[in-house]
Amino acid sequence: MSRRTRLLLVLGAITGAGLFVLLAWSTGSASRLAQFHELLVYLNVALALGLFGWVLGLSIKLIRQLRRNKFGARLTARFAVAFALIGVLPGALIYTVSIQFMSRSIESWFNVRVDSALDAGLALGREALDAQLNELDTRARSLLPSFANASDAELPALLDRVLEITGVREAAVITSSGRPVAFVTEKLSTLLPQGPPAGVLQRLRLSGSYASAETVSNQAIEGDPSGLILRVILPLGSSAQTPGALVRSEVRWLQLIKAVPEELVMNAEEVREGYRDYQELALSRDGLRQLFAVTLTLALLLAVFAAMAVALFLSKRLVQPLLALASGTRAVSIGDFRPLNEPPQNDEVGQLTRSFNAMTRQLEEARRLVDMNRRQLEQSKLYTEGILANLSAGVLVFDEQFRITLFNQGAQSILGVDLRSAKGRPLETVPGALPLATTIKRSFSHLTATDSERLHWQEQFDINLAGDDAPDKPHTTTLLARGTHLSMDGRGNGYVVVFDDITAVISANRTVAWGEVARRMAHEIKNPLTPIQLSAERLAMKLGDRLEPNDAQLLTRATNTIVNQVTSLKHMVDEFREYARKPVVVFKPVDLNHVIEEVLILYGWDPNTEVSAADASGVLFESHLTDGLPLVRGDQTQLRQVIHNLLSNSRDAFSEQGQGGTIRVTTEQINATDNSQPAIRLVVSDDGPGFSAQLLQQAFEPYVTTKAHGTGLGLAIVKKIVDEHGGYIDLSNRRDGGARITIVLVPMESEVDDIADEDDNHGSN
Amino acid sequence: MVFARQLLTICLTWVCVTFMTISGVAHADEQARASVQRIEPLVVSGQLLLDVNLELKLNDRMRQALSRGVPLTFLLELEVNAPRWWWFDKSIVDTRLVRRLSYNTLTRTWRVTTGDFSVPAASYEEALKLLSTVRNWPVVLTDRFEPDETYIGAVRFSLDNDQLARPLQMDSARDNWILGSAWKTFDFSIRRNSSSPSDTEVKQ
Repeated sequence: MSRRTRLLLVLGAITGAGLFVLLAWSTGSASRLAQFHELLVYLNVALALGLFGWVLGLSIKLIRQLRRNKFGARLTARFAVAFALIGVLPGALIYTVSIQFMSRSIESWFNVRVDSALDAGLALGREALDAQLNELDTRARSLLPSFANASDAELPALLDRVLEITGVREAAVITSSGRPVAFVTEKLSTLLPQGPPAGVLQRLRLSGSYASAETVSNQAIEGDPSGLILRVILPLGSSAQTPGALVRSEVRWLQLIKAVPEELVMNAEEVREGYRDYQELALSRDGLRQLFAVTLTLALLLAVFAAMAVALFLSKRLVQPLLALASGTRAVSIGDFRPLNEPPQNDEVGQLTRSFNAMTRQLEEARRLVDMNRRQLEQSKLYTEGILANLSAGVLVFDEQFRITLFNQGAQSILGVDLRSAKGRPLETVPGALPLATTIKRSFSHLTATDSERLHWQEQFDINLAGDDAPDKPHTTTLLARGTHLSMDGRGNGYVVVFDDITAVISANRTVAWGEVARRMAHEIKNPLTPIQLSAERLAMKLGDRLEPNDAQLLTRATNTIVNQVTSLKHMVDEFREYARKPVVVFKPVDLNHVIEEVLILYGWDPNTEVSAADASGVLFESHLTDGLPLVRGDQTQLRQVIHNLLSNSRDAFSEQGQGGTIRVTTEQINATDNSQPAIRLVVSDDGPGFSAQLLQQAFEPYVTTKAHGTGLGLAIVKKIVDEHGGYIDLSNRRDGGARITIVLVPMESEVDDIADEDDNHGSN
Repeated sequence: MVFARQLLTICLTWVCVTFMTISGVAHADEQARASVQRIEPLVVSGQLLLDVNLELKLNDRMRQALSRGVPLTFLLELEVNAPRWWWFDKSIVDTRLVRRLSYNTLTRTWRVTTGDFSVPAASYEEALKLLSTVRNWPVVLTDRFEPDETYIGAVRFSLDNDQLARPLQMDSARDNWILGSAWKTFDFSIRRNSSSPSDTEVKQ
């Protein structure tokens, strides 16, 4: 509630109370406010109407809120009714009692005894006056004979006597027209007698005498304090005895005026006024009752309406903080944690609001913590997912019905299929994954069937996958897979399979195995070869002369065959030995470019043009060597053989196809990135047919060749040498066709590490 | 809430009933009447005097009050306006004559008082006659009026309720205490006589 509203309310209350007090005042008949009584009544009625309007407005508002089920309306209504009852019921009670009391008491004022007492009092007054008047009349009459036959000149003396005897204030003889003939008074200032009132003279002629008490209208002029006089007028008879008088017929009157004793007058007046007031009241008793009734009713109305208005108003105010709290609760329930306005009062509601705000703050804090935790959890989950996605191994998660629920990028790239559309479906529906699915199911059923203590199975198997470049030519990939039951919340609800492409691992294993075989073979085979050759030559030499020419010829052919085959066998064994030879390498700083140039010269390469002329089969060599390369740590002879092998491989590939082409040799330095060492890259590429998918998998294994006359050891030896040098080699096909062999070698600077690697190599071999 | 509405209805009904019972006691007996019969303006020594004859009849309630010594005050009101076509009429005279009719219960005499001057009357009829005849009421000096200009005067006679006792004013039967004649109009003009100061007036 604003300050202005409060001020207005207080002003209104004061005005209303003042109005009513004025009205109550104005009901008194002696009040100066009496003349405004009517106006005040109307003002109060207007006030009551205003209050009624207010009450009506507030009630209608409340009822409407109740209808609409507005929150808090019910409580407000209950408060309002309670307050209104407290205000209205006592008011109504007091009103009823007052009205009853008032009508009874007003009636009781006007009882018969008071009435008759006043009447009697008035009669008493009249009696007193009459008695005085009678006495005066009697005395006057007793004096009348002395006036008989008195001449005009004697009259003042006579009147003086009358004055003395009767004690009247004024005595006069007047004619019938009212003219004074003689006049005597106590008061010297008075020059003329007080004439009888109009109409009295006419009546005198009829009645013959007059005796009456009169009120003096103007006391100041008459100088009569009492205000009441007694006037007696008696006929003096005709003055026929006066001789010579012109107006014989004229009748004369004696007028006596006597002041009523002051005490009597006062008492009589008192009685008269009392009587008048009483009669006035008696006449207007209905009016009185109405006066009080109106005032009382107005009081009741004002009180009732004011009480109701205040009740409605107060209840609203009382309920307001509770409503604020309630709306605050609602706001909290939908996540709005703004604090409420705290009321300035230090009462219970204020405390409630404060503790509510404290609770809200705690809630908000808690929610913030929960949010933070959730975000951290999400982040860690994202992190886990990221790890899973970037894992090179394939991960597949199935539900109980072997429908895919989760897979990672590794699985897709190993299997070469797009699993995104397969989510929620069995793995069998994915094209090309049927063998894998069968294997996985079988393995899981085996694991269940054996009831093993182990928690996982492990299986290695080959599957045929469609190659990226040639979908019609599937290549075989060896996979190592492990599967476990997925156990979450203490119950089995799925399967996890992790698998990896281990083709390269197997290839490496084969390489090692082949080396061992070759070494033993060479050792075992080479020993008997020389005696076989020598024996054959000796047979030919010793027996050739002794045989028939035909036989000799046969012998020569046979021995030649033996010798040739043994030579060939020897050559083969040498190559084996070369492959399986324990490396006795001496690492020295080697200029790689120089070694490459030396080898290229053998192929007709011109160091000036850096290009060779095309040879008979149309193959030419081209070099893009970067100057200033750091020296490579390595064995010059072996590196030479590596380059030689690569170049001849390429050339052989062209010659088999029977077409020409360009073989490009490139060296460059790879600058160090974050943690990796600087390195030197050697790339030999051509625009020939490239490698087949099968060959890419197994190129480094011995006896894998596409050549008609190759031993299949060329690339195996290259791989071995590069490995020994601590570098690595990669075979791939260029995007625009042709093969591409990349060798990365470490430069001289990082000698220490490489020596350690070398030791490892020694150990493993 | 329903209870509060019922309570309100009960209160309102009650108030209405109370008012009706209080005012329902009203009963009108014989009607009091007053009318202005004759108005005669005349000019004496430069002053406008007014003779007014009234017909007056009081009701029983008033007579009862009078006979019990309650005085009644009457007003004779006079207004004289100069007509103005362009605005409200200009008010020239607005005066009143206060007359008081009383009965002295002690001396059993009637009295009609005009200002400081009071006239006794032997009977009610006489007093009423005195009351309803106004002679030579000095209203205003004639120099307030333009000569040969027509003026409209209006006279009204009424009972002065304000002088009644408060409870009588509040009497439920208010009609008992209402007495007033209609405004009686008359027009006149002053003709200035160059030779003598006494002027003549034109009546209606």
